[in-house]
Amino acid sequence: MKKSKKSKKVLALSLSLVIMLSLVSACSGETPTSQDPTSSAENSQVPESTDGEDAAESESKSDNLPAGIDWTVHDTFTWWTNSSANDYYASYSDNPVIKYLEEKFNVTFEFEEPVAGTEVQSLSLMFGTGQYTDLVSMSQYQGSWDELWEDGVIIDIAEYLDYMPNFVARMEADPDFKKNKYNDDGQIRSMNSYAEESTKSWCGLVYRRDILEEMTDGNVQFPSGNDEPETIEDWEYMLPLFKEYFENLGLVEYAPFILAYNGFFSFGEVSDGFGVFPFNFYVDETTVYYGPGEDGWREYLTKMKEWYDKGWIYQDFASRTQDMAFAPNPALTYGNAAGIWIGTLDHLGDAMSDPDSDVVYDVRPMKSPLAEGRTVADQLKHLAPTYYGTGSNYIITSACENPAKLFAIIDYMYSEEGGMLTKYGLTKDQIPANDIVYTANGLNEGAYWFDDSGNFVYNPLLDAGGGSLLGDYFNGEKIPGYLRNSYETLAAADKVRNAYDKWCGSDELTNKMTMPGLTLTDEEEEAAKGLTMDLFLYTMEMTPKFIVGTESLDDENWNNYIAQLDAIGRTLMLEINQAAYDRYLAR
Amino acid sequence: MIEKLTPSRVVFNIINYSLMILLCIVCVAPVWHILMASFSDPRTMMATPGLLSWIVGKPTTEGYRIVLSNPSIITGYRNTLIYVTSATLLGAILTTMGGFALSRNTKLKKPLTIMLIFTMMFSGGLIPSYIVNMNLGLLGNPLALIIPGCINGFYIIIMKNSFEQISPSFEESARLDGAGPLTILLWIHLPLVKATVAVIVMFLVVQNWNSWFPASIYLTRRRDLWPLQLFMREILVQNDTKMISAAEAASSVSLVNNLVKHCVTIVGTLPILCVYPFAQKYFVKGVTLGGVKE
Repeated sequence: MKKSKKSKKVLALSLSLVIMLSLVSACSGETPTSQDPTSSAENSQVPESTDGEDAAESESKSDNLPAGIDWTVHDTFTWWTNSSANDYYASYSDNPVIKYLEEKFNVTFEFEEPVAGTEVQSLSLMFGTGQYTDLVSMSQYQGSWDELWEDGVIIDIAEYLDYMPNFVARMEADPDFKKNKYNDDGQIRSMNSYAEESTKSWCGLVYRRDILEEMTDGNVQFPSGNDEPETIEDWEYMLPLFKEYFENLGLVEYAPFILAYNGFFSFGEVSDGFGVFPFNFYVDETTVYYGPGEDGWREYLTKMKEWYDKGWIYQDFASRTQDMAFAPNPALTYGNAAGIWIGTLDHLGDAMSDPDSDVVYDVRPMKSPLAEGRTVADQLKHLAPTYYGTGSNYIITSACENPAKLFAIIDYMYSEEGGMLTKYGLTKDQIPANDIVYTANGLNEGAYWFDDSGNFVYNPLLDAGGGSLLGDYFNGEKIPGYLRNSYETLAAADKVRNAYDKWCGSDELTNKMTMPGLTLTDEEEEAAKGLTMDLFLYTMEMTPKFIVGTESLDDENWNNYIAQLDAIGRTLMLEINQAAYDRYLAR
Repeated sequence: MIEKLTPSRVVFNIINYSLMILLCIVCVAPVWHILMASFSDPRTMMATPGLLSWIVGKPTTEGYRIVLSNPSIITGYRNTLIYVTSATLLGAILTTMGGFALSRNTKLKKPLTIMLIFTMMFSGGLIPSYIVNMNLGLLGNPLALIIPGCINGFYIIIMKNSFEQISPSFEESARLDGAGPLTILLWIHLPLVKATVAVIVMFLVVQNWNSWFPASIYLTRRRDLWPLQLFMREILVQNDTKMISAAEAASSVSLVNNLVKHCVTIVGTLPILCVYPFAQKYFVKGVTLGGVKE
C-alpha cells in the first residue's frame, strides 16, 4: 500500500509540474531583441555609402548594379504577402521574377504567406508578437498605422531616397504621385506600384442584348440615339422589354435589373449618373463630399423606388445579402431570368449560354447611365488613380537589417526595365538558371519578345497573348514598382478592351474621385473614430428601405434622414476631411 | 416493458418523430446538396435555384478529376493523415494517463482537477500561445499541430469519471497479486473503460481532421506541411480555385470554380463521414459510462 501511495504521489506531482510549467511558460516568452521595435532607431539609420576603393571594387564585380551598396555580400530579406498559390507554384518565392531578382542582386527572399482568408489575423499576430518581416504588404492591415509608426516599426522611406533614383524620378515627373506619397509631416511610410493610368476594372454593368434584339425584331433604338445604352432614359426603354420577355416565358422569379442588396453599387455604378458616389467620402479638385447626404442621392433613390414599384428591379434584392455585387444570383443570370447586372469579364459575349438551350446569350458591357441634365463630368472615376492605390501598399520594417539594399532592389522595379518585369515577366535571356516555372510551362522563349520590326510580341501561351496560362503568375505584379498600361498586355483581347472602355471610359473626363491618402491630426483622428463606419452602416440600413418603400422619400422623412446623418457625424466628418484635404492640396 | 399508447403519448410520439425527422433533414440536406452538385453539370447547376434533390444536367466527374489530380490535395491528405494519427495516438495515451491519475485518491486530486477545469474556461490567448510555441521552436514545425493541442481538459474529466466508476475491489485484488499502477491501468482498468477510450479517440480524430487554425498560424512558411483542411479553406473561402487548374479557370472561371468547390468539400468530408457510423455504437455507452451504478 505504501508503495502505491508513493507512486501515486509521484505521478500526481509530475502532472502538476507539467501543468504548472506550461502555465508559467506562457508568461515568459521573450521577443528576440533583434526584432524589437525599440531597436528601430538603430536600424532606421541610413547606412553610410561605401565610398572609395572598396566600393569601386564591388561595383566592378557587380555588373551595373546600383552604386553605394555592397552587392558581393549575400543578404536574406523576409517578405509578408498574401497567398499566391496557383497551378504553377505554391509560394511566391518560386515566382520566376523573384528568382531573377535573387540571382541579379545576390539576395534571398523568404516569403511568409498566410492561408487565404486569415490575412488580417496574420498581420495582427505578426505586429502583436514583434515577429514582423522586412517587407510587409499592408493592404489588409486593419490596425493603426500611427501606432506602428510611433512604435518604430515603419521605416521612413524618405530617408532612403538616395538609394532610390528611379522612384524619385517617378515622383518628380508626376506631382500628384509625389503629393500622395508624402504625408503632412514629410514622411513616406509606404510604397505601392506606380502606373500612368488607372487600373482597369474587371467588372461592371452588363446587359442582355439578345433579349432586346428578340423583343424588337432586331430593331433596337435607344432614345439617346446611341448604339449602346448610355442614359437613364435608355434604361427605361430596356427595362420594360426585359420584364415583358421574362413574363412571356412564364417566369415567376426574374430580374430586369439586379441591384446589390444594400441598394447601391460600391463602385458608384448607376448612382454616379446622378452625380453622387455612394460609399464613403469623395473629392473633386477642391471639395470633399458625402454622397448619401447629397440631393443627387435623393434623386437616385426616387428613381430606384420608381423602378422597384414597376417591377424592373429584382424584388428580392435586399434579401440577397451573401451575394457579391459582381456575382449576383446565378440562378437568375444563368437561368435566362436577368436583364442587367454587374458582370465580370468572363460573362461577356456568349460565354454564359446554355449549350443545351436555344437561347444564345449576347452579354454586352455598358456605361453607367446618365440621368437627365447630367454629364460625364458629374460621374466619378470608377477606380482611383493608380498612385492612390494600385497594387499592395508595402512598408519596410525596422526588422530589416540592410534597408538600403532592399530599397535599392525595389527602386530597380520602378525603372523601365523593372516595369517590364512587373507587367510582362522575363525575356528568354532573363530566365534564371534555377527556374522551373517558365521551362515547365513551355515558356522557354520568355514571356515576351520583339519581332524583327521591333514590335512587342506577347507569348501566345499566356492569356494576354491569347493562351491559357495566366500571365499574372509569370510576371512580378505583386512587387511594388512601375506598372505599365493594361492595354498593352491585353491588346489581343478586343472584347476586354471594349469592356474597359465602357466601364472606365469616363475616368479621364471627370475629376471626382475617392479620397487620396489624407493625414489626420491626432485630434482629428480621435474625433473621427468610427464615424465613417457609423455613417456607412446607417446608409446601408436606410437605402433599401427607401427603395422598397418602407421609408418614405417625402420632404419630412428625408429631412429626418439628413438630420440623423448629421447627428451621427456627417458634418463633422466633412469638416475634418476637408481640412485634411486642404492640407493635402497644399503639400 | 410495453409502452401504453395513451392519446397524449401518441401526440408526443408524432411531434417527437416529426422534430427528429426535421432535424435529420436539416443536417442531411446540405450534405446531399453538395454531393449532388459535385456530380452536376456546372452550367445547369448555376441556373438552378435552391437545394438540389438530384443531379442536374449531364452528370460529370470532371470536378473530381481536377481535384484529385491536384498535388496540393494529395499533399494535404498525406499531412492530415500523419497529423490525425499522431495527435490522436498521443492525445489518447496522455488523456488516459491523466484521467487515471486524477481518478486516484491523492491529496493533489482536487487542486489538479481545479487547474484542469480552469484551462477549460480560460486560455492564454492567441498571442501568448504563439510566443510560447515560437520559443519552443514550433514555428514552421509539424509538431506545432500535434503537441500543443493533444490534451483537452474536458476529455481528461470524462476519462477520470470513467475510471472512478470502476469498483475499487478490482484495484485491491490486483495489488494483492503484486500489480503496480501501470499494470493496473493497462491490464485491469483500461479494458473496462474501452468504450470511453473509443469515444475519446473519435473526438480526437474528428477534432484533428477538421483542424486548420493552428496550421494557418504556425506553418505560414511551410506550405508543404499544410493539412488538407487548410487547402480546402483556401479554395472555399477565397474562391481561389485558380490553384486547382489555371487553364480551366481561364476558360470558364465561374463554372469550374463552382464545381470544384463542391467536389473539394466532398473529398475533404467523406472519409470522416464514413468513419463516424462505425464508432457510433460506442458513443452512448462511452459518454454515459460515468453514470452507471455498480
